[in-house]
Amino acid sequence: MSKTQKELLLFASTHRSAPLEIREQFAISADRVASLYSGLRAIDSLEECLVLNTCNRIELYLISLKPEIKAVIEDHFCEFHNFEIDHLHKFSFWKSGLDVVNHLFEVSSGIDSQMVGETEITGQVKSSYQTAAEMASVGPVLHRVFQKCFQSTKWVRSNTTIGKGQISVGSVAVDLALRIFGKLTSSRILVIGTGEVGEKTVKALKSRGAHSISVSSRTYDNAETLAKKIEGQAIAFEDFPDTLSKFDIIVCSTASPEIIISSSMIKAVMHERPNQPMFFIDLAVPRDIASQVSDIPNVFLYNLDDLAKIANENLNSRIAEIDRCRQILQERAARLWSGLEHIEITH
Amino acid sequence: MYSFISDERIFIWTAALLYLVAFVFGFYSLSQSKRYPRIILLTLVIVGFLFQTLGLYGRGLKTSSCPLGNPFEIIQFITWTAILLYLVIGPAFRMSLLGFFSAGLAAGLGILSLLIPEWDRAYETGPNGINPWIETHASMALFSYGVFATLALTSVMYLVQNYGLKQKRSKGMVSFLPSILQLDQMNKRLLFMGVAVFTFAISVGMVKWVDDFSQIQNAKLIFALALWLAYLLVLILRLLNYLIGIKFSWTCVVLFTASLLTLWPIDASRSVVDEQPSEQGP
Repeated sequence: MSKTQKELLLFASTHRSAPLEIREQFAISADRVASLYSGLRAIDSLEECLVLNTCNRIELYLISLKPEIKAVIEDHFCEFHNFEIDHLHKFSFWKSGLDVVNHLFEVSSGIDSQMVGETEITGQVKSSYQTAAEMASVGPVLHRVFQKCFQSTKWVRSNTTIGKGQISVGSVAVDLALRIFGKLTSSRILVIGTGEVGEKTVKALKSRGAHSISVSSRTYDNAETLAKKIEGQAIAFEDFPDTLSKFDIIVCSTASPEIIISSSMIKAVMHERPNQPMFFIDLAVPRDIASQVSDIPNVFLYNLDDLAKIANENLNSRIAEIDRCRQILQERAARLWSGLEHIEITH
Repeated sequence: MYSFISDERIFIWTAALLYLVAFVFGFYSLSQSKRYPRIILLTLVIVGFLFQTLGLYGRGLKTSSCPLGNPFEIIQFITWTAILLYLVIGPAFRMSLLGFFSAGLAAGLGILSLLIPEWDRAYETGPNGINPWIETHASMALFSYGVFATLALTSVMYLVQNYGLKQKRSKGMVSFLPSILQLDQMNKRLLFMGVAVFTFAISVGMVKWVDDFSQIQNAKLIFALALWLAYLLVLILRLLNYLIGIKFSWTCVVLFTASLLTLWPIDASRSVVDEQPSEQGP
C-alpha cells in the first residue's frame, strides 16, 4: 500500500451480471448522466470518476481515498435508481486495482461484449471518457488509464483478427454484396415482403451506400410504409416479376407458403442482363426462392441458413481469438499498472 | 550457353527468390486467415522487380539488344511485364491479392527458367544488335504476353471468387479478393489492352515480313497470327456478351497457357547458333 491510500475501483452491472429486465432498470438516459456525475462529485472522498453507460452495461470507474467508499457509492446508486440494495448486490460487482484495468481493456476492445469483437463499444468508451473530461471528473490516474486503454484497443484491433468478419445477418449480407459488386452506391435493391429481418438487411445495405431501393409486398400499404421508412419506392406485388431485371440485389422475406421466384423466371431475367451479377437473399421460412436459382451463372443465392452459418463461423473465429487478445491486454495492463506507482495508487 | 553464375543471373535469381518469399508469405498469411500483409508483400515485390530489372538490363548490355533471344529471356520479360502491370494497376484499381498471384507466377516461371540451363542458350545479335523494328515487334509482342499473363491471373482470381460465393465460403483467400464486378471489368480492360498491344506488335512484324518474306519462319508466323486471332475473337465475343463470366475466365487462362506453349515452336524455328557456353557470358 502506498502513502495516500488512493484506490482504483470499478462498480458495474453488465450483461454478464444482470438480465435484460434488470439492465433496463439500471439504464440511464443521456440527460440524467450529468445528474449522476454531480451526485458522485459531491462525495468527498472520491477524487476521480467516470461513468460508462451503454445498453449492456453501467460502469463507474472511481479513484477514491477511502475504502468505505463502496457503501457510499452503492447507497448513491440505489437512491439514484430507486433500487433495493439487496437487489443491487445480486446484479452488480466490484473490482479493484489491476483487475479494473484488465476489465476496462477487455471492455474497450470488444472482447467483453455480447457480440464478441463488435466495434461500437470502443466509440462508447471514448465518448464516456470525453464526457467525463468535459465535466472535469477525471484526473491524472483515469486520464492515464483510459489513454493507455485506447492505445491497447487500437493495437489489438490492428494486430489480431478479433474484429474481422461480420456477425449479424444484415452485415453478412453486406459483406457478400461487397464481394459481388465491390461498392453498393450504384446497386439497385428490391425488397419483397416487409418482414423485420428484411428491413434490417436493407438498412445494413443502405448504410454501405445503397440508395436505390424498391419495396414490394402483397399488401401495397405495407410496401408503401416500409418504402417511406427507408426512402425507397413501392412496387405492386403483381408487377415485381416484370421489373426483376432492373435490380442487382433482391431481398425476400415474405410469409408466402410457396416459391415466388422460380429458376425459369431468373433464367429469363439473366438473358436480359447476362453480364451483370444478381444477388438473392432469401430470408423467408419457408423459402421464397427456388434453390435451383443458385445454379444459374452469375447468380448468387443465399438463404437464412447460409447467412447464419457465415455469421456463426465469423463469431467462432472471434471467440478463438479472445484468449490471445486477453493475454496481450493483460500484459499491457500490468505494464500500465506498474507505471502508476509514482502516482501513489494502492497496489 | 551463358555461365550459370553470371552477374545478371544472380540479380534474376535474387528477384525470383524475393517473389517466392512474397508468395509464400502471402500464402501463409492467407491460410492462417491473418490480415493480408499488403505492405510487406508490396515491398518484397518492388525489391524483386528492381533486381529483375537490373538483371535484364545487364543482359541487354551484353547482347547489345533487348534481351528476348532465348526462352529464358522471354520468360523473364513476360514475368517482368506482369509484375510491372501489377505495380501500375494493382494500387490504382485496389486489386488486392493481384500482387500475391503475380509474385507466384513470377516466382514459378522465373525459377523454372533459371533451373533449365538449355533455355538460356547463346544467340547471335550481330555487332550492332538486332534491327530496331524487329526489337520493337518482339518487345511489344512479349509485353502483350505479359498483359495476357496478368489477365490470366485476374481470371483465376475471378474463378476463385466465383467458386467461393457459389460454395458459400467466407473464410481465407476469398475474403481478400476484389469483387466479381471489379474483376470482370479489369479482365475486359486487360483483354482490350493486350489485344491492342499485340495488334501493334503484329502490324510492325507484318511490315518487316512484307519487306522480306524469307526472314520470318512460317511456324512463327502461323502461331503468332493464330494467337492474335484467338484473343481478338475472345475480345469480340466478350464485347457482344457471348463469352462472359466463368467461361470467359477459363478461356483467358487456357489461352495464356496455350500462348506460353506456342513460345516453344516459335523458338524452335529460330536457328540455334551455339550449343556451347557463350563468350557473351562472364
